[in-house]
Amino acid sequence: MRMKDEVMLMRNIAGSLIIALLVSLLVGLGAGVYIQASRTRAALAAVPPSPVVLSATYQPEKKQVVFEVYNPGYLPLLLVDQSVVFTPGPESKEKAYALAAVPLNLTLPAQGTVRVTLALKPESEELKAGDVVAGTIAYTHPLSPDVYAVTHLFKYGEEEKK
Amino acid sequence: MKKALAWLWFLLLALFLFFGATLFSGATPEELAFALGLFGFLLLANPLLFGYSGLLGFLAEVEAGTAKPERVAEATHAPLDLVKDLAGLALAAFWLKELAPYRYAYYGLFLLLLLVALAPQLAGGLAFAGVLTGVLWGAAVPTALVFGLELLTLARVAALARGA
Repeated sequence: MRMKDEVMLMRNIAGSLIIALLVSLLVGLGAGVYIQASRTRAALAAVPPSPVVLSATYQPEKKQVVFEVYNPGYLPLLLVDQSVVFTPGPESKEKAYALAAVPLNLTLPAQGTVRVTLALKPESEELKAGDVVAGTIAYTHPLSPDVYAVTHLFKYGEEEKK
Repeated sequence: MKKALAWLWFLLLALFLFFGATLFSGATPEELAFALGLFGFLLLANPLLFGYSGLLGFLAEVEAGTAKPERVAEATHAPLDLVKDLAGLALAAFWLKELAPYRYAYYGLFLLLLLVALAPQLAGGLAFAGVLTGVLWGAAVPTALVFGLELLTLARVAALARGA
């Protein structure tokens, strides 16, 4: 009988039940992981992020310190302005000074990185080891009208060597 | 009695609508895509789900010796005179053959969706690729049901053929 030849390819009842169970478990796992990931992303998008300064480098020829700023969240940030506070180390003859509220108006996209240039006082000397530059970046996010700030301390001669 | 039953149905429907609306309003776009794929492919899978479960019931009747060819005639739209003298195994094969076009159409459409959902991701990512993946996961649920029922039905038919 022809049916018998086709039957040779087929599995027994217990085997087909086990295969169906495994397939259903995999589909349930995949769909559950997918839906949970979408909910997690929606929940994270409702949390205002805080920018992270990944690195700071000093460029002596342009007299500026460059911050690499990363946005770990799911909302874009607007970097409003920057301030620089210079504190001399033991080797420097320069006096302490501060440059406040230099406009920036940079958009930092979600999960993105931008480079922020902090210009030092144009007539100042080159940085010496031990000098400290405190860079403050003011930012806003779309969920609130408030202005927040992140300050990174850059001690010249320590971060450069690593 | 009838009035009470009608009220119960109304209450059930109202509850269903309430929870449905609550779920709908709080859902992410990916979850809505999942629901779309689930219910769309559930509609497509309807003839197969009812066909295979009806055939499974018929096979149980064949084993018990209470099978009626009328059921097969009704399910396959075949004249009763054509099927009434056939053996249980032949009737099951007749029914399986009736379901084959639906099966091909269903698996073909699922394969098409799989290609459409996975091709943009392989090509480097479109903006709506994530939502299409949701439709695919939703469609995978009735597909797993159809696949399991089909596998079980074929195994039952095979067991019947071995016994016959």
